[in-house]
Amino acid sequence: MKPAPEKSRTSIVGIVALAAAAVTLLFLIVVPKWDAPWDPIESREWGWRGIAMNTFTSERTRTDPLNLIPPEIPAFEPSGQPASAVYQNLQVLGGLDSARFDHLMASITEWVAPEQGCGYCHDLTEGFASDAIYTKQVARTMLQMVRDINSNSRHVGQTGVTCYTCHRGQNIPSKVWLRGAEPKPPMGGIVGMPPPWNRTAENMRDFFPRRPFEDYLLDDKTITGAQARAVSGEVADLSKLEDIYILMMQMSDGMGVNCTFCHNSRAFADWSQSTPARINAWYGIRMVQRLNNDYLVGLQDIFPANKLGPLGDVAKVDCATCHNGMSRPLGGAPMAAGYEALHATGISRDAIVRETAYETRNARMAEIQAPPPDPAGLVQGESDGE
Amino acid sequence: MASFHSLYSQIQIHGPHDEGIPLRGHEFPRIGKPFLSRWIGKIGDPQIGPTYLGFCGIASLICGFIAIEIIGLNFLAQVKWNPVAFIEGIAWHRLDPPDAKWGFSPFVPLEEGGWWIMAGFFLTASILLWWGRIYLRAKALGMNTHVAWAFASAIFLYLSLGFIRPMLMGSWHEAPPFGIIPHLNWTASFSVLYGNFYYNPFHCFSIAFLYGSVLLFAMHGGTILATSRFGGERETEEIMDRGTAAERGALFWRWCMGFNATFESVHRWAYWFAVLTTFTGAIGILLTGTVVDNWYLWGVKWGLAPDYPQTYPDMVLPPEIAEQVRAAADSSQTAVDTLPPPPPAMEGAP
Repeated sequence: MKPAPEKSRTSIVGIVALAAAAVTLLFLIVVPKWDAPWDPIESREWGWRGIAMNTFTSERTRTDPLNLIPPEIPAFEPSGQPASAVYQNLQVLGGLDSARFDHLMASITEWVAPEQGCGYCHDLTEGFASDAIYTKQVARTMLQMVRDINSNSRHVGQTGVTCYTCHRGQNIPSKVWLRGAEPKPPMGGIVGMPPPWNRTAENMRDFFPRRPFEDYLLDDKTITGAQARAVSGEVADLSKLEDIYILMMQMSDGMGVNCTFCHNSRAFADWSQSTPARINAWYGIRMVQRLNNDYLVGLQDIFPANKLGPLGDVAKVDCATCHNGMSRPLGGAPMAAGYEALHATGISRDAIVRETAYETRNARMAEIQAPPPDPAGLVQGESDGE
Repeated sequence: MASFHSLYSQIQIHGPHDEGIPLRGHEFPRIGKPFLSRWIGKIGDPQIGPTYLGFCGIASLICGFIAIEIIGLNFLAQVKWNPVAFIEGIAWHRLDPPDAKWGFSPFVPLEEGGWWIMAGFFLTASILLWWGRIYLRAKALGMNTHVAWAFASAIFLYLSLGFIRPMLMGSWHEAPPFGIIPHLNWTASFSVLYGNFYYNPFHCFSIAFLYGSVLLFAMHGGTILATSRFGGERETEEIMDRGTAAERGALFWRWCMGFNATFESVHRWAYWFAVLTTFTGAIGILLTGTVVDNWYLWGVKWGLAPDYPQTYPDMVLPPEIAEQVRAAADSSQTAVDTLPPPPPAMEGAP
């Protein structure tokens, strides 16, 4: 014999359990971004064969609209006279041919402020020469920065960058970082340790602690200490190690790769087992440090308060700012080709494979990956790690 | 026994509640009015309750409650007592052990890790009291204490991570933090810091026993279900008086893989695999940083980590890095013995 209340209780339990299962299933189907089974995930191997030094790329990265190469802006015929003869107050580009100067200005507008147009930087009532709007001063510094990168950055090399590499048609690049509101202990009250994450973040990327960024992308701290020497009596700093871990995870997330794009994950620190991409990344970290310190931090006083972070700091760059989820920004397309004022060197714009950014990148990766001749005469087998 | 169970039967037995054995004089009363649940009966015994807490159970719950309160209130205070922020960040909140400068001192200011020590103390007390409860309940029912000792193996791993190893290292800082994502980050960082746990042989043992436990569980469960049509689920009877179910199960495995456990020994196999999972894991933890700094180099030294040809032998390191690699090789004789030589420098940029 079963009393009535128990019957109703058990059926409620059952209904609740089934409903919970259904909601969970629905959540798992709808909320995460899945790769459709018919969209191939491409795997590429970087190390010796069979040791799983792979990167995986999916259709979702390829079809991100921000990663498509924008249409080329047709060049103007050179006018034969320097821009300084036509315009006033040219501090950087005075020697450039005036028509080429116009072309560059039109391009910058498309790259950074396609909706606002010239008026985003220029005070159109006072004339183009006016420096009244702060964005013009920012733009001038950014122009110097791009010229510096293209002339001196080993990280960028022959590929070259333009405003578009970071801005992607937006006033502020979509991926930048700001200091988190991170008070230092002791805070009083019952706890000394504040949460290191950024609660005002609007996405997961910004949520992570900023300390690794401040240490390694702004301050010139060296990324060491990832190997314990406890047996010989040295004390390890595990919180520093976690910072390095977070920095590296942000780096791989920003580039759409995993650890093994650069490292052999069995011995992260060992350079002799790493790939050349780690060298590029090493120069990249130094480049980011320099850009943040030499160019962006200096602009802090020019920006109005509403463009600054919660602690009043200027937006700064990290790997994702340019890379936006790809191992080479925009698939390695030489965006600066044809803009001599940006100190672009190397490949001409005509050489761009006008395919999706993804395919361009693959061609570049194959270039990097081509095995050099082996001086030791080591037999590498037929499929040497490809 | 008044009830008969058959795994092979879909029939649930609903009747008068089973009140269990009579209480002994010194025991606390059992808690909860029993009831029957048809849904619970689909995955186990349909009767829920009563439960027995006793002194150990009550003390364990109190200590556990204190530990959770310390951790939770720290989390809540970190977000300035904002309940929404508390929920939002539940996966990321953290309560860290003291910094290395405090060594293994039990007297650390609360806001610099003292709360962590206190939470750890009460959590440990709670777990040990729960262990006592498992032990005493087994005794009260006249059972042996196998479950308690298996649980003790898991507690040994827990204590190795949070107490014994920090004690050997002389620093609380070596212990994992409280917090969902922070302790996962700690696990990854800890492995890298000590040269990759993949090459820690006791980590290997632990994984082998873990996967072995799963395999044995599946094999045994499968065998019993498959022989239940011959009464295979009545395992103890089949151990004492081997019938056709035990014969068929044994023959099945002997035909499949040449060897078979018995209805009795398979339980010892599974038990020891499970116990050794955490026991070997704890040994691997205790050797880390006390005896071995870099498990990868240990693996290279003992031939566990194979040497692969360099895929990029002509790679040119940045000058600063090349200098570091050379300096490291000069300063550490053990490292230079085991690491492959740095790649030769080449003219020109990569």
